[in-house]
Amino acid sequence: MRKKDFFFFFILPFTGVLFLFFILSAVNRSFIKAKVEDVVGEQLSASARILKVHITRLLEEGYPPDTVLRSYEEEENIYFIALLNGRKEILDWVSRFEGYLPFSERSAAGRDTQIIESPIGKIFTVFTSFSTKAGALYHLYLGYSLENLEDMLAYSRRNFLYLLAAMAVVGLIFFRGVFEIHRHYLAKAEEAVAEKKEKERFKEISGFTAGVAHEIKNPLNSLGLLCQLLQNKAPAELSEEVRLGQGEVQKISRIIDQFSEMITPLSMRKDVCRIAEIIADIQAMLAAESQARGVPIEYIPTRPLVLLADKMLLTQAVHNVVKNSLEATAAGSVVIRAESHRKKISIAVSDSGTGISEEDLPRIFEPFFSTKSTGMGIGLYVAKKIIEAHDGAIEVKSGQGRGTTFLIELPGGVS
Amino acid sequence: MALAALLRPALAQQAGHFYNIDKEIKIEGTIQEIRLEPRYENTARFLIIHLQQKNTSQKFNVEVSPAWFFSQDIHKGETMKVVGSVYTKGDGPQNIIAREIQYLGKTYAVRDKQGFPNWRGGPGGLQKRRRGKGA
Repeated sequence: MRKKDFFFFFILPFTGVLFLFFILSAVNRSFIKAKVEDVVGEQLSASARILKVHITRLLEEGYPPDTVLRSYEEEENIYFIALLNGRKEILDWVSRFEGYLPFSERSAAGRDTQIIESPIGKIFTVFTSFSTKAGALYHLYLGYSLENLEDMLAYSRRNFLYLLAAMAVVGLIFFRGVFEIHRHYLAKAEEAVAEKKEKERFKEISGFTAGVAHEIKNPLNSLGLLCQLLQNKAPAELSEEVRLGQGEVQKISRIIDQFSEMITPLSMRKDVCRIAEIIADIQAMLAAESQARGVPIEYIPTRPLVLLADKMLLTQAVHNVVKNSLEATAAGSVVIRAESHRKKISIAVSDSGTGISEEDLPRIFEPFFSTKSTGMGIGLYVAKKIIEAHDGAIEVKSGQGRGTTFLIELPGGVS
Repeated sequence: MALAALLRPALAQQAGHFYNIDKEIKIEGTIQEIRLEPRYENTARFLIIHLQQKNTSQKFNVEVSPAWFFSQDIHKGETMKVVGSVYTKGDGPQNIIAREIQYLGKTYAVRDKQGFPNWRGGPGGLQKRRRGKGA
């Protein structure tokens, strides 16, 4: 998998969604915060107006400023309160913090309300004027705690972070899944393209080989007949040489037949087959060779196994595998086990031979690959071709000096 | 002179006795006297330094912080720079509520730029109201 794919199909969508969520949430939170601040500002301004009415009444009743302000000392949400005269000189003030009255004539001149930052959080300030019935002008300067608003915003910020973390985890899982699916399908697509190319190449080679085989076979048949005639008419001292020549012609003919067989597309006629019968046929076919080598072919039956397959082709496939195992075994035995799992039948062919080296193992099913001096290397290739034509699979497990096991798996089991 | 020995009666408060950022000044002077005085209701005594400005010889009473907060050992005759908010009380010397003190090459912040006390949450706590009285 290329780095580009990882970036475009995992990193980019994942970070993109997170970034989008972050931006949307930030905009949303900013909007809510501004709205809440407006609402709180309106509420506090309304409270200040009520306070102003109350203070006006107390001043009109003749209470001095310090007595008036003292009545608000217990108000938890008021951080500071100051009463100013018409010349904006502070008459009295109360604060929760020593000497802390963030009043500035410069800043007070511009706005009636504002939010100021402080180490104890945001403070909403109100600067408002009023007159008593006697015509005296006063100003009231108030600082309200926005502690609750801060708490609410902190709660919102915390929830946002939790949500972002949850989104990150879910996104990570989701986009990882999407990426894996993409990777899987990409691999499949690449495989299919490679397979198609291989099939096309094989078709070309098959056509060419079939043509060559046909062109060779005709003169070879004539040569075979000529050898036959020569055999009949040759003097006794040349009889042996002619027989050898005829044998070589027959050998070439067999090779060409095998080539033709290998490249011909399989045509199957599926029928109900009994595994025990197929194995018995193979045992009979290889009986002479088995006996000659002193390597018995043992079949360990489990229960009667039946499947839908082309009996002749399946026999040929299993025969090729068993023959390969037999030829690789100098001593011991070749054991065939067959069993079923649901509708899948598996046939394991194990030998006690020398095993296949690690470098040869991946090439074992390639056509014309053989480690034997006498073999053409098409037996296992044909076996694989037949099994795959039955939608089955064949695999091999081996190690040098540990013997070899071929495992054939076939669908179409009949219960 | 040790700070702990300098206890004096409380000074009267004024309405203008708050940190007014419009009236912030910076002075450099010599320490004339060191006192501990009550300044705000329900708080510990404050460290008050009498400072004589170097170039004008004008005298200032500098309100630093609660004595427990400013724990540096300071001495008469030493030079000190103060940034703070000035307010006048009667005909006496000018008063300064200090925000920043520079003493023996070190800078000590006792309030933030809005005048918020940096000793918040310490002895005395934040629960009680502090008030300035009318003149």
